[in-house]
Amino acid sequence: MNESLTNRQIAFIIFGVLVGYGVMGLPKNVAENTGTGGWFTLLIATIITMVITYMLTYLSYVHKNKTIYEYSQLLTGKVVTYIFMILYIFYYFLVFSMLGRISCETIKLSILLKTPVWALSFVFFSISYYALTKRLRVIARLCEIYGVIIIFASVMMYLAIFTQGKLVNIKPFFILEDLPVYMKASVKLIFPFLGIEILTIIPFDKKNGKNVFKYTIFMVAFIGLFYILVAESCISVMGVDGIIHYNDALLATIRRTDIKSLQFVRRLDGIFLVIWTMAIFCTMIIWAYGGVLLLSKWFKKIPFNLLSFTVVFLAYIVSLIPSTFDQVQKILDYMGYYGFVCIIVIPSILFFITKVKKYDKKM
Amino acid sequence: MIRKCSKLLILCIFLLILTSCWDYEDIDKKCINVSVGVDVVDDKIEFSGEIAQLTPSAESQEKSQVAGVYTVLAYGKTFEEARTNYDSLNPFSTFLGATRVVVFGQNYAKQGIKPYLYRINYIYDYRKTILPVVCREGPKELFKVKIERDIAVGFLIEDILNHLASSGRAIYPTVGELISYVEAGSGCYVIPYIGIEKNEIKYLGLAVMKESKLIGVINLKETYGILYILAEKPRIIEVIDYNKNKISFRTVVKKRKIQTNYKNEKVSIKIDIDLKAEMRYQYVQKPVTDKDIKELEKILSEKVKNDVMKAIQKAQNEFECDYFQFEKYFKAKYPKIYKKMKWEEIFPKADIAVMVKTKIVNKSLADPNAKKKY
Repeated sequence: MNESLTNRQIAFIIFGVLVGYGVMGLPKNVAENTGTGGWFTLLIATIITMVITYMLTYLSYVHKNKTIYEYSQLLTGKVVTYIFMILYIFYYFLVFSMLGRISCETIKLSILLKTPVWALSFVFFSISYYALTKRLRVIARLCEIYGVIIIFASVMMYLAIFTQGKLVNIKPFFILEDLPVYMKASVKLIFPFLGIEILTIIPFDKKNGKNVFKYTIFMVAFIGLFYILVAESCISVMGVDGIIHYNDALLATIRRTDIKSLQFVRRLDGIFLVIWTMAIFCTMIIWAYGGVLLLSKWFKKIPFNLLSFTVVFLAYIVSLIPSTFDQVQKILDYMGYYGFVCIIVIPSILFFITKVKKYDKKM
Repeated sequence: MIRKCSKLLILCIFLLILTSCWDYEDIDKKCINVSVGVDVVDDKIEFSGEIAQLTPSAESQEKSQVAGVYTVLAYGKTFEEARTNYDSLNPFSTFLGATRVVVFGQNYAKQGIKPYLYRINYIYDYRKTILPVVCREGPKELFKVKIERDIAVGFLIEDILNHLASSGRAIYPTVGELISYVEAGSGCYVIPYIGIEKNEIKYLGLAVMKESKLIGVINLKETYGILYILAEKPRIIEVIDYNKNKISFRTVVKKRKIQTNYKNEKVSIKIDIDLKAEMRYQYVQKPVTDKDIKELEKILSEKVKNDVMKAIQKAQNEFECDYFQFEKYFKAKYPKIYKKMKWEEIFPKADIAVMVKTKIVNKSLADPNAKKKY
């Protein structure tokens, strides 16, 4: 099946996978790590991610019509590839299941108090399965449509939040003496960019051309600016001292704003939750697709839909195992460190081998 | 065919387990709180409140009126106990998402409203944009007042303060803002103070809160100086005595700049206010020359400066409480020095200077220099 995507679709896949649950606690993490200078730290984190994105795009660009499963075999051999694949499959699977669970927990804690998590998860996971059976191109189209809606609605919303905030809350913008702190914290703020490694399972073809670099790198830069907008707008309302107490910093800020001049949309939480659910949905299906695709490469004889069903079903079961919100949060925190291997270490190894063995010239 | 049926089946399953089913409740099966009152009476928490009456009573049906509100009162040693008792009186489960106002009684406000602010902050259905007010008479008495000008006491208080704040003559803080003040520093702030006068509910001024405890009240006239610094867009009516005449002006703050400085371990604060003034009318119509305008600008500036200075001095000397939030400005400029100091001790000793520049921009289309021909 032809799974190639247009450059724009690739860019929106990146947006879909990156912007999801992470934005909820982003302002808190920024304020906690670097206070009001957080925008600068986010900027550094964005630049680092842009470099990683370049590497990942390069790998797919050089190895046309191949995913990491194929080009890793070419570069490192079968044994190492299997180790890599196990790491990736386990990673995608766990993030998919925990992301589903934590999103449902957040929805339960914030709007649907009486609805059990298993019911919420059931809906989320079932729809994810349905989307998965339609494969990458449909998922990409979905991300494209949802992405535009999410970007438009959220940028409007965060700008509206700014009108309720106070400039003094986001000052001082930059403290020169804190530069080492900003640099150090940038590593921690790379976590919201986890997911960019999805590029390794998107096969590029000739049509993508060199322009794909522009699209992927520009999208990461845009997401970085988007994150800065999210963090700064929330801090301008809540202040750095307040926001650190809220795991759901973004929702807490939105619930503190009431824009009288907007009349029928004066309470933003309704819009926010719809947009956020759309973003979560995109993120979940892309993570799930990553896992299922790599599995399907491995178990070629098993139909893709059956694999999808098994993965989604297992993920649903696994998502219900942790008993509390805190446990899920902890697992996701650890997944962040694990993600470091998948986002930086493995792609870097493959990138350098490609360069050293001069595959880029051979292709 | 089978494929289509399977899709229909999936849709039916979704409909059945649709997540909102668990949370769904008919609106007339809920007690919708319009306002909440909290006070302390005989060491017990007193919860009072207005609940929207969605089904009109027999009496109101006769009068063919729309449904109004009924009041509920409950007591308990803790919030939880009082709430349990409160719920025991209600026919349906309470919905707090429509609450407009939280009224604190003086007794409770003196003990500190912080716990209740946190309660609002963390209870899911409360809006964080509720208006907090302190009431002189106690919420129980307040909710007894018969309202003719609005639907309920809660609505009336919200509407009064909303129109005053939008015209720049009062502040409209929200619970969310107060929580930010508490989380950021010493918990010094001012909130609207209301009371009953001649059986009417009236805005009386501002309640001063230190560490979220009521420590004093500023009467309405003295609030103007505060509004010049705190209100979003202050528009205040000033009357100037000039040449045996009185002239009425409406002042609007065009620009407000607060600068803090730290030199020789001393904090100084400089406030620059640029005012625009409109001459509304004169008590006796007299010609106004350019020289008069310049003189009036000077007098107005001086008057506003004095009002603001008085308000600041009151905060520094009488209340020792920075409800102007100068702390935030200092912290933004000197975060490291701020960390080492105790602002509550520094603020009363800080040098504060106020500069006011006024420009009279129009005379409301009146020509005080019109020449008579005959």
